[in-house]
Amino acid sequence: MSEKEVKGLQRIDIKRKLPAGFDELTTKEKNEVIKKIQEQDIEIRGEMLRKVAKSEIAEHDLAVGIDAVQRLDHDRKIYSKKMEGETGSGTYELNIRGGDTKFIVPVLVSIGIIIIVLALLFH
Amino acid sequence: MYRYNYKKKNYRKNWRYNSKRSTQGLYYNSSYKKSLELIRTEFFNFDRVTFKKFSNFYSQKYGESKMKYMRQTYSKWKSGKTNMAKQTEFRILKCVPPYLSIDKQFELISYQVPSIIKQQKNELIKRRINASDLENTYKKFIKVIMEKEYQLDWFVKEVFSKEEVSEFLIVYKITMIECLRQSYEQVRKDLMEIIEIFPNIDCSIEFSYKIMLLETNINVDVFPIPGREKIDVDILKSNLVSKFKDKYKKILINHTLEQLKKDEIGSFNQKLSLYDIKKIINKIKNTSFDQEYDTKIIMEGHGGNFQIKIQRKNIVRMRYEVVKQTIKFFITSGLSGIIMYKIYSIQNFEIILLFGIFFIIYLGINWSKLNKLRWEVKDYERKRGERFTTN
Repeated sequence: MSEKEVKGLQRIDIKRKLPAGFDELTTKEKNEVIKKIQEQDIEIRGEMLRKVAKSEIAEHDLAVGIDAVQRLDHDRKIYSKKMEGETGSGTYELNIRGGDTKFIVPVLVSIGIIIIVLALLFH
Repeated sequence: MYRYNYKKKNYRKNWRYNSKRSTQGLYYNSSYKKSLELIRTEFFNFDRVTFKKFSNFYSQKYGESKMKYMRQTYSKWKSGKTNMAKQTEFRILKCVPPYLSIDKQFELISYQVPSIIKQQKNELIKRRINASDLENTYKKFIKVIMEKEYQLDWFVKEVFSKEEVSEFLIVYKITMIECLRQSYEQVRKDLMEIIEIFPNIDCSIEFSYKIMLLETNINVDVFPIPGREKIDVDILKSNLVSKFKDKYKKILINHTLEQLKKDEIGSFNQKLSLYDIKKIINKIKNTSFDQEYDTKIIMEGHGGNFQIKIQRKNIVRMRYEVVKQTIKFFITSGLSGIIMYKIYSIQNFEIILLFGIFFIIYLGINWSKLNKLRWEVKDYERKRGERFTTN
């Protein structure tokens, strides 16, 4: 298989990837190097596609999880949602918390009641 | 009984000999053991012609009597009936290599690589480096490799010529320096591109980065990262002339191809990481202002791994928690005082002591909770203020 045919089939820029000292090699060694570059390229492309697919899935899962939190009835509720995922390049963890923080009134009322009860007890 | 004593005596003798040698670093390292194993295997598999040539060489070097002893004992050594004395082992180690094939000779010298890596490891270890010092650190590491005088097993210098040993070390150094040069470019590119994508949203960001090749953490103390994109090094010249030149050429070409593969995968990883981070950030940007989130992203970059912690807290809720805890603390303090006063009137010191300890512990816990909440508010505001902090 000539070099031209290899380029046409694989669409790989072989020249850019040739190592230093390539010209000094014998024809057999040159072919071996070109074959290795092609094999590496195919391996890398396969790995890339797998990783991209993984990232797309993780992105979709995250979007679904966040939408679910946004659709919650937020009034007078405290909520927390943990999401974990694996993308093509790594992992993520997301923990969302929220809810109504305007519950100072019941807390103050409870404290007031306790104070009154204690005051009555000690008088 | 006699047999036992004989063995014991020999053991002691050998032990003394071994201990003496081991202090010189000649024994007990894996490269030496592997080399010895290879030599013994090859020695016991010599064909008749090679064995004859070897015997002549042995005789020239150590005399005829030693050669005769060697020839007489050869079959016993081979069958394992007799153990080879250490001194004979040394002689074999010196005399067998010239009668090995080039492949086996190369295998023998290659066994030195783990020992060399071990020797340089201590000098290339740094737990943490500042981004401002990135270029200088890599240059220093390259200089260390270029100037390092590696200690090889004692027989290497006796078996291989000076040129062969020097060529072996130069090829090793070239591959190591190339790895460092590539790592520098990748790490710098990672830091420059990743830090730039941090969003302009109200949150705190912690960022940490670990160089894959050196297993070193980077403290991003400055941005943009100073220094050139590539490190210029006067690379060592490799005029391959020894009998191993074809092997070295193959190693260098394979190394280049391997580096090329790593570079392509790393470059893709970095692009994908940036894409993933942008997507995650866009999603968390859509959360409402009163929602809190903690995000931990661990991604693989081009030359290392990075970890990003993005945190948004509801500052109103945090302050409210501090106020709540403060009120709780003062109320419990007041109540504790009143109760203690009432108990004091009973004049029972055991009960006073018991309640006293209980209240002190209870108030102490409340006080530490209050301080923790106050610290959380301050820390979050500091991180927001600094835009991001580095670890």
